[in-house]
Amino acid sequence: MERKEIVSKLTSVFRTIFNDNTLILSDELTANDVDNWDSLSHMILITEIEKAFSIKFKLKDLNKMRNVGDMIEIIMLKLQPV
Amino acid sequence: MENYIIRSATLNDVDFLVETIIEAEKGGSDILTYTTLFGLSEADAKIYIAKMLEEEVDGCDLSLSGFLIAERNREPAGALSGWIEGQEGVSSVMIKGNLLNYCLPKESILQASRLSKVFSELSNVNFIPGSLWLGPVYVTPKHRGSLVLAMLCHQHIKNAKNIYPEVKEVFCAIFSNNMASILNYKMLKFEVLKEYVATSPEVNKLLPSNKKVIMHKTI
Repeated sequence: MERKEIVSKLTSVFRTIFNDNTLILSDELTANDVDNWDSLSHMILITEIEKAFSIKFKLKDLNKMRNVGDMIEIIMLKLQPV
Repeated sequence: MENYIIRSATLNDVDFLVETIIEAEKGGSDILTYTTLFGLSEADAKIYIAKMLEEEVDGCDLSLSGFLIAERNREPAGALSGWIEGQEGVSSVMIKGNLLNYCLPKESILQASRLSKVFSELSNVNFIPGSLWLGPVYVTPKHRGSLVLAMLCHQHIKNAKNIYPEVKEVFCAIFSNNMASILNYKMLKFEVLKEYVATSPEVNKLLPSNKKVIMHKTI
């Protein structure tokens, strides 16, 4: 899956979770930049991302995510054929 | 006061830290969010909280390394968690959310997902990077009135300034029904900075209060 496709799918997940159809993802976006991005919504967000991309994150992968850019990189790695 | 020892928590303290988190979550009420929100029994909530602490992930209120323990005669008297927000570039809400996602059963996450919008108005706490945050606190009934919270708080501030000299502010978030904690922090010169109110009537079934206050002081 190409980066562009991942961003598009991820945008859809973010917009659903944060109930905001105008939300635009950027690599620098963090929890501090989005209304209602708290630990609970982050938990739900990760679950929905795993579902949308049919992947399962390891805790050590998750804790490397500082922002959306890191999230995209980790999803790309997870989707690479073994 | 001098009979108390303040020390960092270790894996041997997990049982007491679980008790700390459960009591702090209830905040003087009978409502435990792990039960109301995640659909867990209190016994199961204890197992999952222990699991999250044992992951030893730093940087949020469920981090074992962030807890200080007050001890007297080798008996725990109280505990308080604290962390420097975003010290490693990752916000505490993401770190805690990752732990919850990783450790809780999927059915609990689904239940929370259905209920979370009810109290979204309480979710916009601004965790300022580089500030010290204090999290769950508990003092055993036997040791109340002995300035245990003051000792724990003082040590957290001292540790934070040693490790991160630029730290200028300390914050805590407390449900407004927890008057004992609010008064204790006021005695430590904390001031109420902001109040968040959830307006849905369902909130009172899920959380100890529909109001959360953010308290702070300059350090």
